Amino acid sequence: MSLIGIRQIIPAATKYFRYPLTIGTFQYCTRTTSDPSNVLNDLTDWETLNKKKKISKAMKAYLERAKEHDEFMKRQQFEYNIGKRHLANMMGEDPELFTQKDVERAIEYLFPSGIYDPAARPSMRPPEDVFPARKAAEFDEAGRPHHCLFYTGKPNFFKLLHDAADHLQQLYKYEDQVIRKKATPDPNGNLQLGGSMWVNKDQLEQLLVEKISDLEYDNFKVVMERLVSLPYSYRYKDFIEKFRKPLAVQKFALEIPKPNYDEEGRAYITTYECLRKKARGDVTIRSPGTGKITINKKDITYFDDVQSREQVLFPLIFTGMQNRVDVECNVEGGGPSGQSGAIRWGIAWGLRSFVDKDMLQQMQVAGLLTRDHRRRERKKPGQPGARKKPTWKKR
Amino acid sequence: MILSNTGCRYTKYGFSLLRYTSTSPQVIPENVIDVQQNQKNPLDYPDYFGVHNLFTVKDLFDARVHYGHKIGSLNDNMRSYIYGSRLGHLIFDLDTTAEHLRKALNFTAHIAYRGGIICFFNRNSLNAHIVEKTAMECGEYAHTRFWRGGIFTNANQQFGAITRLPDLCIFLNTQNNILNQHTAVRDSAKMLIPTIGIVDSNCNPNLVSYPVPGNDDSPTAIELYCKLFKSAIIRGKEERRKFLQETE
Amino acid sequence: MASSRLERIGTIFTRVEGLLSRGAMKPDDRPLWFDVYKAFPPITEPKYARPNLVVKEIRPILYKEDVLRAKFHSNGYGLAPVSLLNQSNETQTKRLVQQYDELKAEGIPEDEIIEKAAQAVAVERHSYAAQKLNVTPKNPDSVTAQVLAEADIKNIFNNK
Repeated sequence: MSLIGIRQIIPAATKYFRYPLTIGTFQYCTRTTSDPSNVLNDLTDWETLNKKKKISKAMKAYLERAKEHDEFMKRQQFEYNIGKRHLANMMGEDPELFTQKDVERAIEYLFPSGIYDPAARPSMRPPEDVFPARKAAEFDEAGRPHHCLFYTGKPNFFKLLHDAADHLQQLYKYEDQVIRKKATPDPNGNLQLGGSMWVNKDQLEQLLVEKISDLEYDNFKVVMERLVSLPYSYRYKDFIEKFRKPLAVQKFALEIPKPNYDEEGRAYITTYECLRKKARGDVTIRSPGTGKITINKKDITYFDDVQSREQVLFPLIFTGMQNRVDVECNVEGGGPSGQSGAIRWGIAWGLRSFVDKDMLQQMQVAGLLTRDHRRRERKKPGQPGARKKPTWKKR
Repeated sequence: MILSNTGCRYTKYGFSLLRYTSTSPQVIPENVIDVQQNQKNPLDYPDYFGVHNLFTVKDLFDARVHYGHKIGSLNDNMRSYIYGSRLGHLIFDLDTTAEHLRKALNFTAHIAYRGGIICFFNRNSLNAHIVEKTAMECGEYAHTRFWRGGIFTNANQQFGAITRLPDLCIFLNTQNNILNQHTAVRDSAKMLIPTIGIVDSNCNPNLVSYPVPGNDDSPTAIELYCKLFKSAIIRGKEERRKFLQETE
Repeated sequence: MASSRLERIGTIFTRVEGLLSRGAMKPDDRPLWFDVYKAFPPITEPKYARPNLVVKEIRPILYKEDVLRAKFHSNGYGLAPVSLLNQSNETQTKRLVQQYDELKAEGIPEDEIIEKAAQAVAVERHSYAAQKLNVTPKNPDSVTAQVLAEADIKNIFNNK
């Protein structure tokens, strides 16, 4: 404080700093009085600073957080192991050999739950399943990010777009070369994309470990469609197939049962548990046949209304099998709509064994192989039906 | 060592002893001075990395750097960089451009030498791919997409961790579209990040630390800039590698 | 960071300098670019509110030949089909101007010269077109030259 006083009294006091004599007097001078140019001219040069290898602030913070997380996970793991031993004791089994499967079984036995959604039922899983994996450090010790598109905020997604654009350019170049050489395209090099579709937004997000917006997902589809549309896109088959997933048909194609043969030598297949609304039935399809339909030992006139009859006939007509198979059904419960719906699904399900792959896919697309899980909605108190409200009267 | 300056600086600003009277030695040992003087400081050379000879004015001309926009869209701050108007189209003075570009390249090489993070920017979708590719090839960073506000100004929230921001932003195009300036130009200035920007005749060079007047639309011109900045960065990094090897 | 975010005040350098000189930022914590900037400052200080002291007039760039070009164009000789196959040929206007210079050197009066030059160039083009398309690329090793050599221009649409 006294220094400031001196400077006020003698405006030229700063000049005296240059005289060696004043060193003794101003030995304890504070920063505020030092000449600004002094600090600026006195900077340690970068080469020297660099030798003291400093760890960046970003990395320091990350290491702290990682340590915290590790400790937390350790604690959780410990608690899980204790819980497992308790369960094993309760079930009277050896705690050392008690596996996760046993844990699930024990929980189901000890805490029975009728809640519909499995996610809401009581459970005990290892902590690494419960707590999502944390992102590893995205930068090195100097604080430099690992990914070149880090600052976009969605590096993996934009890298994907970049790669796709790169492949597009390569393909254009390749196409030019082929035309120049007048070569014929490789007949084997064809992309078979019929049985698969692009991954949906959620799956893509999982692949990329990033959240993306709807617009960005659309952009992804546009660029991939463009890539696929090029004649030589098979050259980047691996890249493209990373983002394709098989259609649902392909999934159960393997599970289609082989038909059995009856004493007359006809192939037959029976589908049990054909459900729709409150109706329940089983359907047997025999091939070859003449298109004879038997429903509860009557013919198609079992149903009085046209709509129900159409429902039963639809899968047969759709597959073109109406004159080639015989159908026998037993159905009970529900009304005509439910019964016909159950039969329709049963016929379609049974026909899978008698049609080819293409038709199977068409049936899938037409919705024939989809179970209709809708049930009657209950009536609500205070109103005449499930949704219907009493007529509104002002007063 | 607290006193790491070269000997000459030390004597010139003898009064700087003031702050260190208690700790610093009164007499500097001879060998320290020798070591310090042998160590050459890249900042003392006008062109330490040899980036001035990376291009000639002819190269700029061939890459169509001299083409500006039409005269009606001229930003008044760009007037001093314009050579003239050919039938309504502005033509840049390539001598001025070359001078600015050399300055920018030298700065880039120095930042790369010091291990700084260099981020390339570009909002023109035509040139986005080559810019990203350049950044990947020289091990630096690129942002050619929609700029979510706050990437610099709110970085710790946006990235969910303390984040080191770039030490240099290179704008291959400083406009978002023909009307608006890229927000990153402003945000860099806010966050004390120096910027290098190719400014066309319709851009505002005021906030760009090292503006380079030139065509920012043509792919040929962008390719040339990318090539130049890439080689400047690679030269800087090469020197850095040597320096790190020496110190080990 | 302790720095001010008002980007319109001063420059990034002056703001860091202020922090350093007043002790708000430790000299060892200064930004990495600071020394480089100090050693190689930009040609003009990047201040937001930089006054435009010199209002430079934009001068038009015109050439002597522009008058000739205008004359040719106003008479309708300026445009002609361009052969993309021929890499070496010059544009119509350039040929016209060259022809003009040649004729002028021969001492032909000014008022006839335009018509004559246009005629000469037209004759030249016709004779050129009458020749068999003999493409001689400037640089025989270039990719373009290779493409041209391989290309069968006449049957290009008959392929496949």
